[in-house]
Amino acid sequence: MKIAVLSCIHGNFEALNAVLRDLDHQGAEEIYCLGDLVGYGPHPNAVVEMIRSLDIPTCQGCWDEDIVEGLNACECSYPSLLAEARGKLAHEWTNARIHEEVRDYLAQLPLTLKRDDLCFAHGSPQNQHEYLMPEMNAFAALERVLAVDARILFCGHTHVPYVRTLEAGTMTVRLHHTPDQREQAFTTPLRRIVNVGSVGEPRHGRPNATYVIYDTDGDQITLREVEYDYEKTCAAIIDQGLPPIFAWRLAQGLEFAERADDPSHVCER
Amino acid sequence: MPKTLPHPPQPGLYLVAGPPGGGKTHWIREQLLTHPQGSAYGSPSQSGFCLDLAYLESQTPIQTIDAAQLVEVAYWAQQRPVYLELGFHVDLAALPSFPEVVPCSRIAILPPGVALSEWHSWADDLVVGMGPMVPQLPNQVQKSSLTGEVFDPASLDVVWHELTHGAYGRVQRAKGLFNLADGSTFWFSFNAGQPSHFEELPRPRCLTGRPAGLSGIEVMGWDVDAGAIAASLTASCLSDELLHHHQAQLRDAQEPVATLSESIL
Repeated sequence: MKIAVLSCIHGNFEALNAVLRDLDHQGAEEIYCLGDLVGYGPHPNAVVEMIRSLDIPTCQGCWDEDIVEGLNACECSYPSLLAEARGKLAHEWTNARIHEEVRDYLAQLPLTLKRDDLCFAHGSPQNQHEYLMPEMNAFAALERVLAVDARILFCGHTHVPYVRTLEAGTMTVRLHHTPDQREQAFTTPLRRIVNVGSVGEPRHGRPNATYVIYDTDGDQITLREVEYDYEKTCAAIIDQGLPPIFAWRLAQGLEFAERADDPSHVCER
Repeated sequence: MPKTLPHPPQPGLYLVAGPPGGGKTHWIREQLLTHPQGSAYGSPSQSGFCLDLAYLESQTPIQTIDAAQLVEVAYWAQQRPVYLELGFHVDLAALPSFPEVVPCSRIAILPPGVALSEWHSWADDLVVGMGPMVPQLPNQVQKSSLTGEVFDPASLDVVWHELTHGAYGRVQRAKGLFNLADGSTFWFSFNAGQPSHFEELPRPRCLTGRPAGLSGIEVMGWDVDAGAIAASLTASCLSDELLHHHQAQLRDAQEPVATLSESIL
């Protein structure tokens, strides 16, 4: 069975439609969405309505949470003053236009979803805002996967797709404050972290949408890159009164506001 | 027939012209460094502040000539080499004539491979500069003073990338003098088709209050959205509170830590 996993749509309705057409063409039978339905892009309500109408199981992303709870960003959300200013502007724009039923829908989204030994989360299972960077310490990365008892952890949030295989992981646990200072070691079978990239706000140098198809039969992970009419989204960004620089960055395959690059940072939200 | 420039430069008037990004200021800098005492520099085609002057002043001591002093330029040129940098937009045919008694050299700094231009017929000397020849000269020159402003480096990096990759219009040439949060001052220079050049200027680091030295940005191009550039630059500057906090941390890091024995004594 083919499972499509998509993330970080960010109000880009054109990109979402292109991805939905593509995954249908690829024969995907199930779809999971890792959140960030809104924020930066010009069609937040339309994107949420489409996801709801298709009844796609969806986790809550950091932008979805912010639009419900209000901005409460850790420093990792904004690596620069400029990114912070642009992020706040986009938040205010989205917050002013989001329909109340859409906000209610975003509020009830879960932090994680499970399907057998597959886990789906936006940033990490611990936090929508945490970045699981490909260079992240292997022990910490393995801990994130084991904590949810998963074989494969699908995440998004960085907007840059990758597959990380954690092989032959060995963990040693030493219990202090016990009479014999017991030490217990155990090995884990192969685990994987799959970042599915971004549908609506890519950061890989091209404007194309990315998502992942996981084939349970062959245990195959395929990264899909889908062209779409991004100029339509760029025009809508400007028409809707969002900053034209957002349109330029989308056309360049740059995120609207840059994200953190520090793989050792632990999110404090 | 071009004449040979005296080396080291002799007293006289040196009019330096050429297209944007061709290396006029760079060439003048080389001359000033070979004759560090007593040379003078002016950029009469610049209105308001002059970033090139601020850059040259950071490199070597020079006598500057402002617009009001131009009437005395002949007198100055009898005493020392005087370099007048002429912007690409200056009408060379409309330049005033200078007294015969003042030796005057007209020097055109041109990108490699240029065989014909208005500067060819004007110049006494042709110097091969840098960069590609611009098929069409920019129709916009945007200048903004940023004196006193201090930038978050990560933000400035983004704005400069956007500026030099067409986010705010087609840019042929951009230069900037920016104060950074660590107290340093940097010179940014960009010519279309070439990578940007970044250079820390030998100015004292400012760790208290706002830096007083000139800083600013100059952009030459077509359909340049000055308002959008200003908005991005404004969002990249440190507030008073943030600057104060940052500078306090930098000063603390500079103070020598007393050893245990010193503390006891």
